Amino acid sequence: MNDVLIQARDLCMSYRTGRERIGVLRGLSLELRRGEAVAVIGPSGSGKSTLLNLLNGLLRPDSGQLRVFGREQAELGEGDWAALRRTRIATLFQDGNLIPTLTVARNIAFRAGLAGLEQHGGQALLERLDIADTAQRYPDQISGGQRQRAALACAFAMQPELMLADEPTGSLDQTTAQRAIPLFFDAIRERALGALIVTHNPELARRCDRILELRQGALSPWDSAVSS
Amino acid sequence: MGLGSVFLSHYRRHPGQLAGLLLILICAAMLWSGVRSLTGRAEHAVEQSRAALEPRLSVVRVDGRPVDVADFARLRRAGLCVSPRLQVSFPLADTPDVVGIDPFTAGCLRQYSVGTGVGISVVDELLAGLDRPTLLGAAADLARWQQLSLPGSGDYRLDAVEGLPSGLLLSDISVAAGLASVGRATLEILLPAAELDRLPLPEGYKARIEDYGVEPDPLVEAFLFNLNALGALALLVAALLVRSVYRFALEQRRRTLEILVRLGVRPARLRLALVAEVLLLALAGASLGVLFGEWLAAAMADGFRGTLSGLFGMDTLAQRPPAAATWLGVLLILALVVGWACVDLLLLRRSAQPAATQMGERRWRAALIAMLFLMLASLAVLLAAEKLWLIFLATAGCLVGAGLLLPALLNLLLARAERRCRDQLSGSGAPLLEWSCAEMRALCRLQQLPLTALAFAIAAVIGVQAMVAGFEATFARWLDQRLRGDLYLDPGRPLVESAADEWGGRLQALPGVTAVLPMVRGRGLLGGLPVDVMALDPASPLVRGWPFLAAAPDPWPALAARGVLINEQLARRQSLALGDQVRFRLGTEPQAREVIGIYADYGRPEGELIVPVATLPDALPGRYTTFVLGLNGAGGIDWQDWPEQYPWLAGSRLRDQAGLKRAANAAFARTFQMTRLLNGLTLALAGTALALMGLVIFRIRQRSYTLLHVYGVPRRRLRRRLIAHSMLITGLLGLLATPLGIFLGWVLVARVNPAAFGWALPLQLYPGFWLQVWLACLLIGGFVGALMRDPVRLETLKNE
Amino acid sequence: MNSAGRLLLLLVLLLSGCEQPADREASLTALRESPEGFTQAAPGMTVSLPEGMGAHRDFRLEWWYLTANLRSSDGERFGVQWTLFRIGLRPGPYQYGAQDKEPGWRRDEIWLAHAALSRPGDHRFAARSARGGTGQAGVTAQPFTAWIDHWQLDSHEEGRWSLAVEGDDFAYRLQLQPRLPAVLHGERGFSAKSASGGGSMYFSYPLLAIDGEVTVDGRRFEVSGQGWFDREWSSQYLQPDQEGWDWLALHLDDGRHLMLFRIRGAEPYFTGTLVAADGSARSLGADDFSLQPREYRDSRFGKVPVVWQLQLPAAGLDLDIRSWPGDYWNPGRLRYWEGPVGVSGSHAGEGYLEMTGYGG
Repeated sequence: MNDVLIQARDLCMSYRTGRERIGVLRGLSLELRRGEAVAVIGPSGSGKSTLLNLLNGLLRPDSGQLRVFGREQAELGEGDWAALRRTRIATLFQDGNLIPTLTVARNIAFRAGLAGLEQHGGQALLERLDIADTAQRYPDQISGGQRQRAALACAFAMQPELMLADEPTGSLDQTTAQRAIPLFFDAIRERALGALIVTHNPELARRCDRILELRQGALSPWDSAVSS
Repeated sequence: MGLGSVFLSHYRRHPGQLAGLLLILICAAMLWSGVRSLTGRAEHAVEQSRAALEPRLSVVRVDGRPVDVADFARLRRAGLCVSPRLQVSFPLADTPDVVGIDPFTAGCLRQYSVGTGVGISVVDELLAGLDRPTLLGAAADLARWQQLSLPGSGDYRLDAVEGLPSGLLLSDISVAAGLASVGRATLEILLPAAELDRLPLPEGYKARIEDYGVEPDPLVEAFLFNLNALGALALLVAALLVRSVYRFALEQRRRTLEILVRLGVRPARLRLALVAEVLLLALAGASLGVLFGEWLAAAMADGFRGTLSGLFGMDTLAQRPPAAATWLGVLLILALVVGWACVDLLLLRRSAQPAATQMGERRWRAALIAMLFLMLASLAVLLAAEKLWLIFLATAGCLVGAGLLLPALLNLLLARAERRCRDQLSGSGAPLLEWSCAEMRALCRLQQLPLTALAFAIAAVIGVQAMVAGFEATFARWLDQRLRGDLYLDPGRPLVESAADEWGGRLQALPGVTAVLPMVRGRGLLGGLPVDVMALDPASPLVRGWPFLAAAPDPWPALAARGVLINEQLARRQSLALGDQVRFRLGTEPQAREVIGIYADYGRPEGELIVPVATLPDALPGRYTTFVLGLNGAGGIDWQDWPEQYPWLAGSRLRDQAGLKRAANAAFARTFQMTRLLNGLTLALAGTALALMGLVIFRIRQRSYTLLHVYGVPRRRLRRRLIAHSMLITGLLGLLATPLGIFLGWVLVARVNPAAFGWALPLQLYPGFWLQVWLACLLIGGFVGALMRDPVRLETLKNE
Repeated sequence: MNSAGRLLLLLVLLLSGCEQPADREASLTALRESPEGFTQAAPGMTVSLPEGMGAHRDFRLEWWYLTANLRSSDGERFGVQWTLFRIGLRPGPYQYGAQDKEPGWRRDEIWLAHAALSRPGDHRFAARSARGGTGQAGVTAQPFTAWIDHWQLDSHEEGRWSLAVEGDDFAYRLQLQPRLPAVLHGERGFSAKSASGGGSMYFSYPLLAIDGEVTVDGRRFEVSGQGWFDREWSSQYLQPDQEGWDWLALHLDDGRHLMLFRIRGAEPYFTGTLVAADGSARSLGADDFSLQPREYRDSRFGKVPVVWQLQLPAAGLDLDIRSWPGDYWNPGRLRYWEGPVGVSGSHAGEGYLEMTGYGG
């Protein structure tokens, strides 16, 4: 069993705005192993979200090498990527991770169902995350912190191997974030997931095994002395 | 930077929204003005058919000589509103007949007072052309006339006029008189039947009584009445569409407006700016919509030929200036509706979250129950009411209730389906099915108003179709019944009983005659009320197949033995039913017979009863005998020559029943066709508006679809699913709205008509047509869904 | 008098009710232009009776025109107008070979009739039209009869006439007796219409004693009073610069009768006839009298002069002529005012005022 979940080399990605092409990623390289949590920091617009969307197959790189779960991205079709997102890669956004027309419990069941899992232990997850009483509520009837925890429950319900998180605490106030972060890491560690976490939150970043900085389209180890 | 530019900036940023909003306003205006225009045309067509079928009497001389100019002058000088008609037919085959009328007296006959469709009546045309012989007619007939070059035909001014029957050129009577020597001329002196109620004919003249005749007035009036009611429904549809759309678009701008208020803009100024915007939008929408509506109606009514010629010439514009009244009406309606739509915004209130909350769910239920109550109460009133306005009010109540109930019902169905998916289904498809149901429920809530509008449109379409098809079938049957047999013979004079028998025998002996049915008309008394009486021979083969509303088994033998047949009017008025014993008086003779059949009789305001001819006293007041003849292959028999061939038939009049039936049917066919076009227009425009709404709403739902994509549902599947959602909603709505349509049709024919006119039309169901409507609904849904192209947009995932 | 505008009026009435495309103006224009083949009225022509009462088919236009001031037994006042017009589409006499006298469907002439019944504040109007040649409408000179449909004016023994007319909401049956002989206007019946020449043949019966009955909305009134009867024929109309006329026919209490008119235009034209109680007549010119509007009324179709001052010093007349209260327009595209008047001032009396060319 290969422990390297993501292996990226010289990834380049650019966007077209009007007539111009803006290079977002310019030769990015990265390796992520099972059980490893990596934080990615960087200024706004540096391409952090683009990086996540390349890793979950929503975007394709212009050039470079990308292997996910040991498979070359060039060999993965749209259907393969969709299957990966259904069963192995969970993506967590700052907000809006839940389907607004389903209750929290049904959201969990839905994600598990998509992954083909009959049993998901949804209620236990919710209890673990301290939001058992929100099960029968709709996403717009609960608080932002509860919503993010519910999103986490959904993500874990599908039993992923890789967790991609885009500012998971971005919409939470500090107190709520303080309470959510340990829960998040406990869950990741417990399941030995690989996690790539894009964040501005120093507390969140500090808990990761490594901190990388995205600057000028490439990743480099973060040097707190230089940055702060 | 003024407030105006902030308002404009919204539309500069979202030009699509402005375009969509305008498009919907235009669609609504188009719907309304198009329907108005088509209804107007239908009315016009009906008016013309009615005029053509007006019962006219022809005045003849008692001494049997043909009438001439001097007779005309004598009748005029006696104060009678008569008008001459000189028809000249030419020996050459295919030559159009020239019909000369007198424009100075033509006003007496309704036929000529009706315009030709372009505002100028033929009478005015003829008056204006008095100084030079003028022939009016359809272009083809005029061309034919020119081609034939009859003696002196070059001297005529030929004027193409729409709306004249083909094969006939209309002229001043002096022009026709000038042509009389070339062809065969017949002069008739005509007067409307009502004229004889005012004045008697002078000595030496009598009116040739048209038989009980084709008098479709009540039928036509009922038809127009119902058509207008449906026009009002179309307006309701338009109003709902505009309200839903505009309100929705404004909802998106709430944030901008709130910022403006926070920045210190006085709410009063904001409201003023909004009002100005509303008026501008209404103005633009109304103007373009009316224009397009007229154009569309013209295209549909006249076919593409007329439209194309209208595009390349000024004719169409000159003939149909955009109706200012319609335009103003639409403008007013749109301004009102748009104003209503943004009332919430004007008050700068925060609206309830449209999302699927349990709170919403509870309110939803409460509204549902309220609507149910409204509907049941209205239905109760509707069933009990006899007053027309009450019937209309109750119908409106039912409609509003049902209209609002339908999306709720849809929601309920989907909720049930969602639960079922959750609880009972398993496998990889189940969660997606559950999501689909939830998504469609959300769509139903968001699209409630446009869906209601579509439901009304569907109901209107089904209701109109049921009514029109019902009318059409009824009319055909009614004509069949009225115009039975092959030939109708009016002896031209009253026959006493013995003479009538003798005539019957002689007629039977004529070559080709297979059956003779004498029909005697007269007046009788029933319960002190005068009624029309008709007597015929129950044993005649010509009465076979007469349709009844209700009848005892074998009614004809029963009629001969003990029975009487009554028309629907009499049955309703006297509350008579099958098996009742009626006492009536024919002349001096009292009779009592049993009601053994009730027949539909749409053309007649009076009650009528039918008795066997054998029981009729000779001294029946107003007794007049006519005959219906069955022929052995009508084609080969020269019945036209009979009055010359057989002296005893001189002065009598023969009429080809089939020809008359054809003419009457043709006159009405156009009207019915118009009404069908109205259907298509309503549905198409409601669909378009829904599509535009759908475009906006699906854009809002994009985030859900994109999330699903992130969750690993492939793009193509999502797209298929979106189309399926859209089709399912419209398709289900079509199914659910069908009973509403049937209900509407039923109200018109079974409640409104009896209250307004005293007789009901049969309600007929047309499942074949429903299938078409359902298909149309699915197509509309598919179209709306397909418009969305790709529901996945990664941008929607961006953090705000 | 008033031939010119009346013809226009008639034709437009005839063609009323629709917008005419330009090419249809042809028929109108043809009649506006100096008509070819019709006889022109000219000085030196005379009127002879009784032929003058019949139709003159070599002229373009003519009319038989009755106005009457009547009173019921309980003092209610009525005004009656009945006019029969004949318009030649082509100059007569009309020849149809052997069937000359036979009626037929022709295109030679048009007959029109206007009937009005006026009361203070109330005016009712009815019209009829017919083609010539059928016998539906016509006039005979001897004995005098004028008719259209069942409306007719007949003469009887002893010179009595009778008139029967029936409209939708009014009717009248009157017996009329000419009390004075016919008066020829202008030069022995030639009545000039402008200073530049041109005019009509024109005579009147200035006094008809009338009695009979009038029906309004089903109510019947026995009435009596006096009337004025005009006969006029012509082929020539108002000059382009003439815009309308004001015409008066008055009966004074001292037994004198008066016909006056003013043709309005760049150069107003005045003329009239004064009839003495014994029936002798004198033509009046612009120098003899002054006729001036004094008060105006806002009517349905704009401001019209309804009070006039007439000064005729040579006859000792200074009259104040006042229209009855109300609106006396006869409707139509080219409408005209035809309404009763009362006379006060140096003499009392009554009569009729006719005005055209006002209110656009």
